[in-house]
Amino acid sequence: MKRGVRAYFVPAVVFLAVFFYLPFAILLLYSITVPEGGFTLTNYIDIFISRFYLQVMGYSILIAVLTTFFTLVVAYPVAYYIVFKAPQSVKPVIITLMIAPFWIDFLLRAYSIKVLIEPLGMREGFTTLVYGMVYDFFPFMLLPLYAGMSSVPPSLLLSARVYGAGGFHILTRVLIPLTSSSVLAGSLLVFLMSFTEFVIPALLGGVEGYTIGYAVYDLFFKYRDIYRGSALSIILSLGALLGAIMLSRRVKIVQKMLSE
Amino acid sequence: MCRRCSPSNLIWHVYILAVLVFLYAPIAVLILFSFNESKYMTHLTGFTLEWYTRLVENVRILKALENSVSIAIVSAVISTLLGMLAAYSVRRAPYLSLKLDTLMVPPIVIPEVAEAVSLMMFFYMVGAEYGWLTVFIGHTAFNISYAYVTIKGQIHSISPNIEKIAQSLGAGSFAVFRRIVIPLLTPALTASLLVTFITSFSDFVKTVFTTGPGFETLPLYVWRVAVRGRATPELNALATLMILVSLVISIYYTRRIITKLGESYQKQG
Repeated sequence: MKRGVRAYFVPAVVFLAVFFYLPFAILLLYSITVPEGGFTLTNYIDIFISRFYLQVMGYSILIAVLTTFFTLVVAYPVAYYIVFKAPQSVKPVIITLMIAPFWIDFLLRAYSIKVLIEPLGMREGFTTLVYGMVYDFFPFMLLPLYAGMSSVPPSLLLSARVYGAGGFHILTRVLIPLTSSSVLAGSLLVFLMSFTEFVIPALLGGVEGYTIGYAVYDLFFKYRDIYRGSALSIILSLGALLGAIMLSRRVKIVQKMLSE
Repeated sequence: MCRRCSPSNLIWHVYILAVLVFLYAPIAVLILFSFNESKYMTHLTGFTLEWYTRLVENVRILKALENSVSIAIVSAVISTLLGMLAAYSVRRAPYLSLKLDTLMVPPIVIPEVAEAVSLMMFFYMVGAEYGWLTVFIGHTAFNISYAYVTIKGQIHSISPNIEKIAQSLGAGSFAVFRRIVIPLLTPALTASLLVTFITSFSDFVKTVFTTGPGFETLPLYVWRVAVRGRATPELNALATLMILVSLVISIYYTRRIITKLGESYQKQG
C-alpha cells in the first residue's frame, strides 16, 4: 500500500521528463552541432567572440541592472512602510493594492505603459523601456522584501532607538543587515527575469529594444539558425541555474509565498 | 500631539500615494481610453461603448478567448492534479522529497524563452501538429512545477496522526486520500488552480513558440496588434476586461497570502 502511494509522483515526473528534460537535451545537442553534422563548440565560440552578441548581452545586463536598482529603491521603503508604519486599519488594503498588479497579465501591463506614454507625449525608447520594466517587475521585488521585513522584530528597531541611534544608523546598521537576504533574493529574481525579458523591450523599446531575449527569438524565427539559437539559449539557462543555486534560499521564500 | 500628522508621516503618506499612482495610472488611463470616442489616444472626446460592442463582434478575439480559457482550465486542473499527487507521494520521505524538488524546480528557474525553443524543436522532431495540444503541453510543463511547489508547502501541515487514525478506523489509502487529505488541502489546491490558471492564461513566450498557423490565444492577439503600430481603443477595451478579471482574482487571493505570510514570518521572528 505504501509503495502504491510512493508511486504517485510518477505521472508528474514522466510529463516533465518528456516535455521538459527531453526537449532540453535536444536543445543541448543542437547547440553542439553544425549543419554539416559532427560535434563542435563553434556555436558557443561564435557567440562569445561576436561583437554583436556581446554588445546585446552587455545592453541587456545594463537594462537588468537598472531595473533591479529602481525596483529595489522604490519597493524597499514600501515594504518598510507596510510592516512598521502603516496604521493597522489600512494595512490590508495597502498590501492588496501594492500586490494586486502582480496578477495582471504581464503583457497587458507593458501595453498599458504604451497607452500611457501617448498622451504624455513620451516616445518609445530606452527610458520608456526601463520605466516599463520597473513597472512590470515591481511586485516581484516587493514580495520577497515584504517577507524579509516582516521577520524583523520591531523590538530591535525600538531598542536601537532607545540607545540613541538616529534614523540613518537604524537603517544602515540594523534594518539593511537584517533584510539583506531578502534584498539579495528580490534582486536576483528581478535581475534574472528582466535580463531575458523580450516582450517589454519589443513593445516599449522601439529601435532601442533589442535585448538578448529578442536575439534568441530572432535567431530562431528570423535567421532560422537553430544551432546558434540553441547555444545562446543554453548559455542563458546555465546563467539562470547558477544564479538560482546561489540563491536557493530565495526559492524557498517564493515557495513559502505561494504555498501559504 | 497628533502623531499621524507629523512631517515624517506626511512624507510617508505622500510617498505611498506616489507609488500607488505609479502602479495604477497606466491601468486607469487604459480603462479611460477604452471608453473614449476618438480613435486616437491623445484627447478625451466623449463617452462610448462602441469599442466593447466591436469586441463582442470580433470573431477572432472570441476564438482567442475560447482558446485561452480552455487551455488555462485544462492545464490548471491537470497540473494541479499531478502536482498534488507528486507532493503527496513524498510527504514523509525527506530524501526522496529533496530529489524530487531538484527535478521539479528547474522549469520555474530556466528562462522561459529557452524552455520554449527547446519544446518547439521537440515538437518539430516528433512531427506534432502545432496548435491547441502543443500550447497546452507547453503551459502544463511549467504549471506542474508551480502546482507542486504551491501544494508542497501546505502538505506538511496535515498531521500524520489524522491519517493514522483514519487508517486504524479501517479507511483504505484511497479513502484516506479522498476523504481526509483532499479536504484538508483545499486552500492549497485553490491556490494552485489560481496560480496555474493565471500563468497559462497570460503566458506569451511559451505560447508564441509552440503555436501553429491560425491558432491564437488572447496574449498572442494583444501582441500582434500592439507590437506593430500603436495602441487601439478596441485593444484597450479587451485589456480592460482582462485586467478586471485578474484584479478580482488578485484581490481575493492576495489578501489571503499576504496576511498568512506576514503572520508566519512574525511568528518566526
